[in-house]
Amino acid sequence: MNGWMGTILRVDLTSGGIVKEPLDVEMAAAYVGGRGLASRILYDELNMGCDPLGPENMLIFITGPLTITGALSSGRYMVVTKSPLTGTVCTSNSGGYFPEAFKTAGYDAIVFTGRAERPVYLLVQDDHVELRDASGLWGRDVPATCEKVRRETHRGVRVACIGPAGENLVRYAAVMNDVNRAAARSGVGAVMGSKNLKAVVVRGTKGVRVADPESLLKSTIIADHIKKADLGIAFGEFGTPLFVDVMNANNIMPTQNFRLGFFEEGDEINGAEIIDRTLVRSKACYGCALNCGRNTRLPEDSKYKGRGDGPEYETCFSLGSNICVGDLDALTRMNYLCNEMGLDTMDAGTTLGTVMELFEMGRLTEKEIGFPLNWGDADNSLKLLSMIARLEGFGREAAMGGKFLADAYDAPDVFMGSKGQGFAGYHPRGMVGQGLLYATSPEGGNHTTGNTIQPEINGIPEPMDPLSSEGKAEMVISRQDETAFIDSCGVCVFPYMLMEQGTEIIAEFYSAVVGVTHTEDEVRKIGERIFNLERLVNHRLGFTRKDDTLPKRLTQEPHSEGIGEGNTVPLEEMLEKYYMLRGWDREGVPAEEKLKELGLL
Amino acid sequence: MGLRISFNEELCTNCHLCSMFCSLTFTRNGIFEFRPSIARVRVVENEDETKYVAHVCLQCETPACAEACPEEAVSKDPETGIVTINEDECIGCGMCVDACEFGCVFLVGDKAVKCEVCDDPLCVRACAVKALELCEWDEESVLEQGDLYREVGL
Repeated sequence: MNGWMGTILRVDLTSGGIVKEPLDVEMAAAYVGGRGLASRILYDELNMGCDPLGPENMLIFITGPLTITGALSSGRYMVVTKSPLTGTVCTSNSGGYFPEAFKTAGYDAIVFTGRAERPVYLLVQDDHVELRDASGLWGRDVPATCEKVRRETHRGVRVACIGPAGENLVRYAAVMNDVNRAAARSGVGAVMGSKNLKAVVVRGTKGVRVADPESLLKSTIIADHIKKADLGIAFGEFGTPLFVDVMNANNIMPTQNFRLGFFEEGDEINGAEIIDRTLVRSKACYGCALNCGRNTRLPEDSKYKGRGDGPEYETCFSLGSNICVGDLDALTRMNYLCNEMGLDTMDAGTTLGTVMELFEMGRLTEKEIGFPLNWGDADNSLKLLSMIARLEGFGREAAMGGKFLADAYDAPDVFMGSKGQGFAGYHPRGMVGQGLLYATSPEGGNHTTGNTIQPEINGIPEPMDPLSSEGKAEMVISRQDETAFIDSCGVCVFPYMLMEQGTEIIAEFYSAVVGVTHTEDEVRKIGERIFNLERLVNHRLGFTRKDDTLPKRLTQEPHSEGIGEGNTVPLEEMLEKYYMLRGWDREGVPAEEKLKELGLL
Repeated sequence: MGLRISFNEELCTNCHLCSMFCSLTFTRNGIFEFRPSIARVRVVENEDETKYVAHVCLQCETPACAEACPEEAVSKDPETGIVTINEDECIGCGMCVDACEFGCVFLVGDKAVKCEVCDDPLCVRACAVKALELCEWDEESVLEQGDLYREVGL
């Protein structure tokens, strides 16, 4: 089989049963891999009413047919499950080196069900698969877990694991791989913790077969091309924190819990500052010719200590501008702490933003928190993050997430997210299409199910007014569908989204790997099928139009001074059109005709 | 004298594209596979991840791998300077792997393999940062690269 490995591994943690099952070829052709194929498995098998943190929930680790093929940036995997943060289907994806070892061990996916009686980890070395006792690992942070597992098994293994946050079922706990990479979002780490599964440890020696290798050599040429383009040069040099400057310049850098779109101390936490102060060297994920990763270390003269990766742009936003921390060292230390504990830096930041605003309002006081938490207070933020991961004191409540706190303290509008998940670092009042995208994303506040920066801010492929609703429904639909396909292929969405011809190129790569001739339109159609399938899963989980919302701060409070001053997000208007163009009814449910067209009925 | 693949550590990003594309060259029987585990170039990172090192044969002047081989399957071509392993004669004992202090000979199944400098090396074509390049053999750069390999073992 070209692209796919042809085997799905099923692990029932309750019984300890391990079964290897052939991949359903028709399913693979229709849903590709990654979030597409995983959502189909959930659609067919998940008890929708299950407790996300109960044994009935399913946890799927999955790559795609293009993973480790030489297609551009092909080293990705995803974790798909029913989210304990949002209650929706969720997809959390990550790069690093784990995906290569996972796929070359010979599996397209590992499907976990049940709950182990005692902590275990799964060891996969090619055909050899076993569950091992993890009681000696439980309680350890991420770096210590990876280190101990390698000593217990083989130096060459790659490890995906949870830290204390996942063990303690923090609703936004991450699955960490290769120490510093994260399948961060939607609480996939808590699901892993609820199953008593501490780690997935892999080593593989098999090959990924491809139909037309010559076409894949093109990927290095394309990478070269991207690197020579303006954005590409800056991206390679500064990594994702480059976006601090882009967002600030366009007044869309969410600041002080989205009150503002400009962070005055942006220059203190941007890509240039990282190069000056903390960068050891830039690095790439497996199989990626771009090197946006940042290997960093806090300098000797810093009051904070440590080394690791990051911060990425999203963390510069969430634990930087969003909570008004303009100190790179403190921000970096918070990032390291989240990685060590296995916490999503993004919801960690939006939760802290919620707490700070509640504190400012007097809804939360020192009595509840244990200390004051004012805007920009990095040291008390660090203290709270540590309490969250360990469920100490107020950390137990904050571990439930920003939406929980905002509701519990009777200020629901203070939480900046959608469907219970915090937003990413793009202020929708200054780019309203992003608002529509957040509202309709399967897992709520999310920057990975499409991103509207290229069309709305960079004017690619055509300039459009970021403040107007015109053309936004069409644009968001095509971004979502394209991203659904790219994600499902098991590659990184980044380079494809940067390129004007990204969809054409992914169609070429898919064809070259699998040995078919899919056009740009055909892969977009597959993406549409996947996006609609996720919508169907969510519908079964009880989600409808009432959940496609944005907080009042975005739809009613005018945008702050600068570009787009006074603007709000015209969500209802865009949503109406979006449903119509999607072929969904007014409640946001895919109509029968659309389902037939997509082969979903 | 002859050619080899040079490696510049400062440029490497640890992406492993060299291993991926190298392996493509060596898949057989009309099947094309990306299979890094059979590659003749292998990338490792040191413990604190300050160095990324692609191990690729230095084509030594006096190859320890050749001296160690009990079957005399490893030899240095006097014309090209390239050290090759005769696959038919290799018994997979691993003596050459152990003998190479640079970590540039690998056991794949029951055969030893190493870089034998392809005509149009895909590792070089795939390296977007040009950390790997086809170059003329010269002692100074070989010694330097050898020191790096000894420092960051396989």
